[in-house]
Amino acid sequence: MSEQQPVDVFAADELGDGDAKTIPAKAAGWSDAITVFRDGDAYYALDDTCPHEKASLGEGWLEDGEIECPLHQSRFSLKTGAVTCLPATRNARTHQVEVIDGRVWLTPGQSPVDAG
Amino acid sequence: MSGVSSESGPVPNHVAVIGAGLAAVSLCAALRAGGFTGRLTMVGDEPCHPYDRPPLSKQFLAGESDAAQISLQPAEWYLAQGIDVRLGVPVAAFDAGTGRVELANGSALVADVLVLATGGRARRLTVPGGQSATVLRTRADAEALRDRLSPGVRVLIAGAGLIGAEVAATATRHGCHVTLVDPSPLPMEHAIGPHAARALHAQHAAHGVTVVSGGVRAIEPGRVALSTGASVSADTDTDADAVVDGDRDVDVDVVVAGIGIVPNVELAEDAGLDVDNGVLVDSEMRTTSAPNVYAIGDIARVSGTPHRSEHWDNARRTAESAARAILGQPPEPRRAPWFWTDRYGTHLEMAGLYDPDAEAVARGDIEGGAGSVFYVRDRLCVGAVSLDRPLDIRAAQRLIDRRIPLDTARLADEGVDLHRLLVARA
Repeated sequence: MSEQQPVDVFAADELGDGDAKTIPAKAAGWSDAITVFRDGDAYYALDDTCPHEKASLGEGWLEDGEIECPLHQSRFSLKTGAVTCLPATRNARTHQVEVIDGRVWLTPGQSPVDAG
Repeated sequence: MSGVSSESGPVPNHVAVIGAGLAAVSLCAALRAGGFTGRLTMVGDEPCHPYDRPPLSKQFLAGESDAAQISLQPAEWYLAQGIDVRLGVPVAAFDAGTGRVELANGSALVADVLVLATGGRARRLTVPGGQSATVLRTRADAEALRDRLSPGVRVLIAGAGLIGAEVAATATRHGCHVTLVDPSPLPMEHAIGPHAARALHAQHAAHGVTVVSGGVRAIEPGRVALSTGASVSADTDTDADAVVDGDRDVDVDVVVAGIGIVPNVELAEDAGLDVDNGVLVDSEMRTTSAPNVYAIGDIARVSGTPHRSEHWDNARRTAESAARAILGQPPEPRRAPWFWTDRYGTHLEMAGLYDPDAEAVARGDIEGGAGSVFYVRDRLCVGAVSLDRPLDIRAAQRLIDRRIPLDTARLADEGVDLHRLLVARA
């Protein structure tokens, strides 16, 4: 398996502040689709499917460093994937995402390196 | 010991919750998340662990999700949270003064704080034979109904509100022949406004459901007598809908009553608490008659407000309010009410309240199948309803809760990003 291989997913400037782009599971080489979010100048990547029920976090509401599920308003920290508001009880899986030379590189399955 | 003290007195040593639905589980979760380390007991009359009710008329009834998937928490969670769960045991009575709770199996417990979360039971039709109609409230109800829905089965549903309409949609997916009866020509208009109500109600006929504007007069085995004003046929592409005036009989295999719930307030009444269309509580869900007793979810009515709320979100919010009060924490600001319904593959959400006197500002085309209507008064959003555009409701909730002044022209302009609407402009 090549789970730890970085994947070049798109140009960094394709994503405006507060936008999200979902990479299909096949393209990401991962068990779930992965959504890359941009919040300010930071990029984050989470499993797209809400751990609560089948809903796409990529279609959620991004605000204050959190993504809110479009269906039942569970909220997750973009940085850690931790649930910050019920009804979800399981955290969202996070992935490493880096911007190199204007391209967004996603490493499915690898936890993000905390730059802070 | 849980010796944290607060303005409103010490945190109790033992909290007992009567009821085991979403409100009860949310209360337990909020208490533990808020640092409560005392005893926590939850008593429920159903034999199974608490489950989520919205899927009962949707995915669960459709056979797409099973009991484990609609369980609110896995059994281990209650153990890990230190919750003493007593299942399949109705409560016989409680004494507000002493905090003593008598269970139907003869045992008893004593708690410093009691939380009533007894929910409601399905309302029954009072017409002759009305007791024979199937209802949908519990998981067992849903399992029994699901087993009877199969291709060709003739199903008549009384009530085209949330439950009735969702059961109608699910029954069509099972291949049933569905008749939906409601006295209102436009069900739910009072709750969601005319645009969304028209869009939703039109779906029934478009999916082959026979919609009858009328009522059930009597139920006999295999047959239902209707009193009808007019009926609209299931023909999808016709403007020559069959209109039938007067009474008539319909042959059916299954009759479902989806006409609302009756709050389970008898225990509170027997205990001498103030009950008037619900157990009366203050804004922190403390009963007006006993400071150590709270009521949350479907049964609670905040004193001075006209209605109880029976929505899923209200069960959670009232549980969180009660937990904060029990822990001596200050109340959080009230949030706009919110609910959703799913039918025929579309998802409707409503936030805040429909106000017929407010300006209705459209975004997208709700009657065309995807769009929203925002209700605006004095530049403030008071409510919003959306079909298949939940993010519009995410924005509306924030507009309502934060009282952000709106420019209605920008609101109606789809070119203006929803997030930008939250930034007030002078």
